Formats: sequence, structure tokens, C-alpha cells
Amino acid sequence: MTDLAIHTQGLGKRFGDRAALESIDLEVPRGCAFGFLGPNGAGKTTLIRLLLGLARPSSGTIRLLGQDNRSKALARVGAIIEEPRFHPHLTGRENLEIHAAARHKSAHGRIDGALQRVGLGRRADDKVRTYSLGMRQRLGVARCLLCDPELLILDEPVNGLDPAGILEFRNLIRSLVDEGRTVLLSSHLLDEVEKTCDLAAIVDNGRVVAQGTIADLVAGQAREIDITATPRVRAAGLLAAVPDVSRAAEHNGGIRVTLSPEAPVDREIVTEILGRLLADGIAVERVAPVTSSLEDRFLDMTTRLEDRA
Amino acid sequence: MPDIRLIRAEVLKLRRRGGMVALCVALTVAVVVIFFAIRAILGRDPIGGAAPFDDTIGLLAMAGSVVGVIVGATAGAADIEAGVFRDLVATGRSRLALFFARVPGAWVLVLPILALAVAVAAILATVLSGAGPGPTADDIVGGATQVLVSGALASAVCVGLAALTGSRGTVIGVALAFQLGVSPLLAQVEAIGDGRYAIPSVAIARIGGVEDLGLALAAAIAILLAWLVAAVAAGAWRSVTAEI
Repeated sequence: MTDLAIHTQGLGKRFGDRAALESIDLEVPRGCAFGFLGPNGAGKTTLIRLLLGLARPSSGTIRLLGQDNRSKALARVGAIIEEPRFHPHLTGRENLEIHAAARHKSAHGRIDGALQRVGLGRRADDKVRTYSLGMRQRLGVARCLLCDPELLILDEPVNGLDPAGILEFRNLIRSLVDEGRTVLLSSHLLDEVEKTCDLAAIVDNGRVVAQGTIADLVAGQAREIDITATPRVRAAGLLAAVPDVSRAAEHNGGIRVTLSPEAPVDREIVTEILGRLLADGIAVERVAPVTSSLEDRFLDMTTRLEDRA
Repeated sequence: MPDIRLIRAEVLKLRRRGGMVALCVALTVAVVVIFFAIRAILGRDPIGGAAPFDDTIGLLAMAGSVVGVIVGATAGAADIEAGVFRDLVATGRSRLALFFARVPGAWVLVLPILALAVAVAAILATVLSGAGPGPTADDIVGGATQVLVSGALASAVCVGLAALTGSRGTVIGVALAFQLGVSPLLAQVEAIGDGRYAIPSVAIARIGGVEDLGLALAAAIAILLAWLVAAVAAGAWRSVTAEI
């Protein structure tokens, strides 16, 4: 059994002259929550449609769950594509019955369990047209669970959920991963991916620009320290001369120090910087290493709307 | 071989549309009852009999095609319009299997309603025939064949057209306009000669036992099969090739 739940090589999709995806090489290991991050229009949903056989790739290959036979693999894949859609005139349970009919016979026996798990047991016999967006999202997850999935592909699953719903959803995803399932979570909500996923890929303009663990992605940035000291100009000049500092510039009323890649760990470099400042008679009010977030990394890597225009 | 579970799912989707089912019953069973009620009110004697039964078959053949259009178009486009078709495709299930389940699914709803309407017509025509002759077994079988073929053909063709266009409303509008407006007009136009045999209602009447149409039974069957195959193939092609 391969260790990869999803493996794409050179995957591309063109709509006429426009390339929605270009040569996507994606490796999603089994048993993790994998974030697929990108700004709107970056190609996230196009990739998901290709993975699920809803559209044909213009180039490249896809292997799901180690299989080249997509139909066979999809029998163990649950998916929510954009907003989950249902027949509004049917109840939640009937909608799951419709879906179960397209799955293996065993799917029918999982309907009650799936409804209970997403907290819709009591509303299962109400028509879907009376459901809120959050309830439809949960019903979408219940639909995914009917095939006892090895892989779940969720496209923007927390769109429209309130904070409590988002937290509930996050816990649900983690519990699915804890059961050994793989979750591919496509989102433009960086905070959500950072809190939920173990690994992520960042896509921009139809290309994967980075992938790895969240820690690795964040660690790819230059380390920085914010310092508030007076006199500021003299302090900045002094800091710029420290060997492990590549840059010291005014920032938000203080000084932002950018460390060189060879700089020692925070404890040592902060001690050295403080020692030099104090030895030179500079009053230091605050020293704080800047915590990098996935958002910073994302914004570094992806194209701004104005750049695209 | 169509998957029985998929067909059941199609039937569930259709029969839960209470308004549509009520309309279909009203267009068929209720029309038969109203037909005989009007004859009673007008003082026709006998109220029933063989000739009124033939008239109800004519009505039901038209109503059957209308019911077929409504149910077929709904079956063909329901998944697409609800946005559910992509979720079904994402199960890995063959798109063809998903499409072909819709045709028998529509028939399971349409044919019993039409059969019930024919049965009601036969019973009322017989019970109310008075001293005159009631419909014979041949009349009933021929009439039922005409009505059921009309409904079955209309529903299958509209499943295909709805899958092709992805729009229930468009198909119902166009199909009803053709069936109720264009088709009867074309049947009267002598200038098109044998071309009028291509109109399904003419071929359906021939299959129902009307023999003075100048159309061989085999030709009538071939014409109906051509309509069926063309529409269903178009819907199947669209279902298989569409990027969703």
C-alpha cells in the first residue's frame, strides 16, 4: 500500500488559452490533515474537480489511494465540492439514501450513524430546504462518511459557519484524522488551515509554490525581532552592526531587526543584542521575537490582486 | 443492466414531489372521471360504452404524453439543477449508470398512473354502457398500449433532452409546445407527405391499433425507436462528457 493518499504529477488544466492549473505536483501522505491553500481563483476547486473526475486534465497524472483506477479509488473517497448541494424537497435522511444508492450496498447501513455523528439525528427527517447553511455543511460531511472514506476532500468546508460551528468542524476533522483517515482541506482561510492541518501546500496562479509541514512552511521565513529602545536612531545603527543581523530598520515606532540565516537561537541572539545595547547606554523597553504565521508566509508567496491585474 | 438501487433512488426523488404527482393524477384519472361526468350532465345516453372509451383513450394518449414530459424532464434534470449530479459522479459510479437509471425511474411513476387512468376509463365505460356495447378486451388492450407507449416515449425522450440541456423548464416548455401545438398541425399538413409519419403521435396511434393511417406497424415501431434512441443517446452523451 502506497503511503500517499493523493499523488499528482505534472497535472494541468487549461480552459482555452487560460491555464487554470499548471504542472501541479502534489503529494498528500495518508493519515493527515492536508491544507490546500490559495487565494480565490488560484485553482483550488479546479484541482478538486480533477481529483474527483468531474473534469478531465489537460496534462499530467493522478493517483488516488495508490490506484490508477479512479472509479475504484473514488468508492473510498468522500467529498464536499464548494457548497454542499442536496435535493431541497427531500429530507436529510432521504438525501443520504439517494447518495447511498450510488455507493456500495454497505453505505445504506451507515446513514443513521453518520447523521448522529454530525449532530443531525433529530433533524434527519426534516426537509433540507429548512436547513441552515451550517446544517447543510454537516449533512455534507455525513454524506462523505457513507462510504467509510479513506480520504475526504473538503472544498471550503467552513464557509458560512459561525465561530462555534467552525470549532465543531475543526474537532470533527481532527477526529477523522485520528481514525487514520486522510483529509484534504481546501481553503483560503489561513487561520483555519494552520489550526487544523498537519501539512499544507500553497497554490498561486495555478502552481504549487510551496508544500510541507505547517512548521516548515512558517519556518521558511527570515527570523525577525522587534525592539523598542531609545534613542532609536543610535540603537538602530548599533544593531545593524551586529554580525548576525542582516538588517535593522524603523518599524511601527520601534526597530525591526532581521536576522541572518546563520544567527543562533533566539535566546542567544537576544542576549547578545541586549548586551550590546545596554553596554552602549541605550534604554531598552521591549524585545520581542516576531512570531511568523502561515498568513505571513502565504502573503509572501501569493500574488496580490493588484499584481494580477 | 440498470442498477435497481439507483432506479429506486430515482423513484424516491420523483414521488416525493407531491405537487407533480397530484398534477399527473389530475391530468389523467381526474380527466377521465370529468369526461364521463360531463357526458352525464349533458344527458348523453349511454354515458359509457365503446365509443366514449375510444374518446377517453384519445384524451389519455395526449394527457399521457404531457405527464411523460413533466416526469421525464424532472427526472432528467433534477440532479443537475439541484447540483447533486457532481456529488454522485464523485462516488466513482459510472455516469452512464446514473443517467440510465432515470429512464426506468420515470417509467415507474408514469406508467402506473396511466394504467390506473385507463383502468378507470374501462370500468366507467363498461359500467355506464347501458344497453349498448361496452369496450372489448381488444379495445382496452389497444387503448392501454397507445396510452402507455405515449407516456413511456415522452418520458424517455424528455429524460434525454433534460440531461442534454440541464433545464427542466426549457424541456417541458419545448416538448409541450411540440406535442400540443406543432405536432397536431404538422399531422394535418399534406404537403409534407410521408414526413408526417415521423410525428410520434401518428406512430403511437398506429401501435395502438389505428390501422387506416397508411403506416406499417414495423415502421411505426421504428419511428418511435428512432425518437427514443436519438434523445436518450444525446442525454447520455452529455452526461458522460460534461465537465461539472
